[in-house]
Amino acid sequence: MRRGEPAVARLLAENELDSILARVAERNALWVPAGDGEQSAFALYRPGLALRQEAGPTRRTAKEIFFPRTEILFTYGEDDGPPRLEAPPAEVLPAVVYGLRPCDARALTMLDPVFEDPGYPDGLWGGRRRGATLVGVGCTRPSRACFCTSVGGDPAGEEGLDVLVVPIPGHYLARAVTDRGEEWLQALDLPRAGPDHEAAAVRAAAAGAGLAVVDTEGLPAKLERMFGHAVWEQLHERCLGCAACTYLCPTCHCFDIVDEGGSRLRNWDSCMFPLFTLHASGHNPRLSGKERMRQRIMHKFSYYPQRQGRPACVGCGRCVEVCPVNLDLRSVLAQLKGVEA
Amino acid sequence: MSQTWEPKIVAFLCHWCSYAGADLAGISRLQYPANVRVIRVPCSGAVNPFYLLKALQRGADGVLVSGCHPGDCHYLAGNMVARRKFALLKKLLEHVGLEPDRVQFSWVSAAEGQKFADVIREVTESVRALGPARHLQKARRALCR
Amino acid sequence: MPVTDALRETAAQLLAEGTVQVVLGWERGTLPLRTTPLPARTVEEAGRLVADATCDNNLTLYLTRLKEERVGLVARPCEARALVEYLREHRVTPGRVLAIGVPCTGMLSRRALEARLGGRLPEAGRLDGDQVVGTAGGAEERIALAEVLEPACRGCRLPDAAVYARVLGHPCPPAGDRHTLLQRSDNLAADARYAEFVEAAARCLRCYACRQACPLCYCAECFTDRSAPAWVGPSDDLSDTMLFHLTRAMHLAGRCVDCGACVRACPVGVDLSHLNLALGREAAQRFGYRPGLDPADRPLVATFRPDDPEEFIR
Repeated sequence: MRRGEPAVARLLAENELDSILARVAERNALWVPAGDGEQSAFALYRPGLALRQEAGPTRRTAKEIFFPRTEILFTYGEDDGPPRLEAPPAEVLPAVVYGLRPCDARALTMLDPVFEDPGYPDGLWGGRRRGATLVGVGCTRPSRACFCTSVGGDPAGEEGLDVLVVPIPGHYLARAVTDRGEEWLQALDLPRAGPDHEAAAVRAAAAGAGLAVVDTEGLPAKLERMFGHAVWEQLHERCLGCAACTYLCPTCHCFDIVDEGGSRLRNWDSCMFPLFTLHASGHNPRLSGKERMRQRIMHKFSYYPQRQGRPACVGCGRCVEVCPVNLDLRSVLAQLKGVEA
Repeated sequence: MSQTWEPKIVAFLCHWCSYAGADLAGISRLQYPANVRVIRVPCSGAVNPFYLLKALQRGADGVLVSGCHPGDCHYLAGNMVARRKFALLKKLLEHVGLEPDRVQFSWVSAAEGQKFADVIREVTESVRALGPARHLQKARRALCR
Repeated sequence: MPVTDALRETAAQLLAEGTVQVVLGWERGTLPLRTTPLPARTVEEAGRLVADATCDNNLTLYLTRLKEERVGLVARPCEARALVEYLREHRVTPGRVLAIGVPCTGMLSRRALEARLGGRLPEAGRLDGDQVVGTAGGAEERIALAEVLEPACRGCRLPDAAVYARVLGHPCPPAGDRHTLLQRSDNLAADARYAEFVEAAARCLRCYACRQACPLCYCAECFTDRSAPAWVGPSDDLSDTMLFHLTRAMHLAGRCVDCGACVRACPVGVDLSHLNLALGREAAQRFGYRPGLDPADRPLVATFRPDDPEEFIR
């Protein structure tokens, strides 16, 4: 799609969504948000599956579709005959992800430079990403912990999406963001939206505003000078050292590689675990919760911005909701911003 | 179930009593099923419940722990402490629907070669009746998500 | 005097006179109806302490992380029972902790409240006497606290009174038999119980929030973190996840004080506290043992009686 040319808005009737998704699922691996509350996650579509319609993002993130908690890198063995090495088969059907929030899509674009570094491209991530069509649903009712606008996001943002869908009374207004999205929409053969619908969509998108404000201005540069700051001592004191925040973070992407029974597996790992940095010698450079929590904050708000020019946080608020001790990232950032560097 | 399936049973035998009981069974030329794989341990009290779970995960169809009779423990009370742990483990397995009969316990002294042979026969038959263990077994990873 | 006022006064006094160097308590959190742990070290900080039905972390686990030599511990029955276990297991020296008993009306269950608010998280909320006032989707609802209590609170037990150094008001609600909660699973067939266990294991992300939030899961190195060789594989394999939860339950047999912190900590709603409960019931019925009540009791699986039942042994 050429820049500057507004895409044609199309209309998708609410009561036809299920039959349209069923059609899409015939030719694609279709992922949709399902389940309620803390059990919500992206699941492969099947007829009759109730789509999640709550405020804010799903509890589990869309990164799992492209970077699963466990995946096989390759298998090996010598059962009969010479040693063999087998790569996992490529996915057969191209993926379509329907219903991810703009923050989720934006998070994927933050992971791309990590996994698709030209020097070390990750075939598994890249293979899944390149084949996938992302159809996002604008956030008209953000959750109480959302703060996307404070980290450069937008409840109706298009970044990373192929199609953006905005819910309006009785309908969804769909607009392509990329050529791939335009093709995808054309194949569905939907009617064009009228000016009333477009106006309703503008109103709906505006309803997503009014989020919590976290001031991160100048924080990356400031954090560079704060590695040895005394504030970390206080900040980590309540942290339990679990991985709830990292495993449910859409931009956390650390992993560990292990061999198990002839398979080399890649599993999620977390900088909050002592084992994460434990050397074979027994030495651990991040000995306490202080160093581990500092790493998590620094990675997101200092190291990543130094490389990629923006923080590795989309303000989805998941870490705020899931922290067992309500150690709120928003307050942590405010505290870091407030102290003398 | 395949015709050729035979239950695999891992037996943790205490060095001082049950292992010697197994020896006596052998010396006395007593017959018992060959389904048992013996692991000698210093004391039944040294058997971590995790070992039993791990054995089931890695392909055992049943597990047996055998130690000295109460009062005869070489370490005075290892077997009686073990008794508490194993009662709890059995209850836990039952609670989560995990076939508690796959873990079995016995007291066999060094003088009880015949009892050892009988225990192995009984345990083998009771595990055979349950069929191959699947509930806790680690799956070989299929090459797909 | 409301308990929070009494607590602030007592904590400020203890800190001012130097009886303790820190008071472990809670302060208001950033989300509606949430609190967060607060180690109060100054009189000013003591003024932020709160004690009410929204205090849902077990504070006892922080005792060994604090460097101070004399610690005040704001203790509901949950903290006090965990403290009993700490004393029994020589995790803290008896003189180091000064337990301040606070009355507890039972904890608000965030999940039960969410369900009562039509599956929505409250945007705002407060406690009003024995009622919870929650606003979700713009509509305010008033719900009796008794209807949205944590399940664990229904089986609350008070430890030996000697554990407390101070008591601010009557410390505990009368409670029933928590083991009745097992009736549902008791009535299921073994296959159905197994299916539920598998479903929970499949949902578990192995983030270890349950373990980290547990005051009694305090091993310096957890068996799941042994990597050479790996006792439990770290992948999403179901059997490994089941082994983790079974072994964790075994390690807590006769030690779990049934505070429910593990359940509240889980980010994806897995509740396997019934494993601990089943073992707790077995400890009570078979061995007449209840953890968390008397520091003088011998630990359940470090001791025996010659006549312990052994009907399951050949």
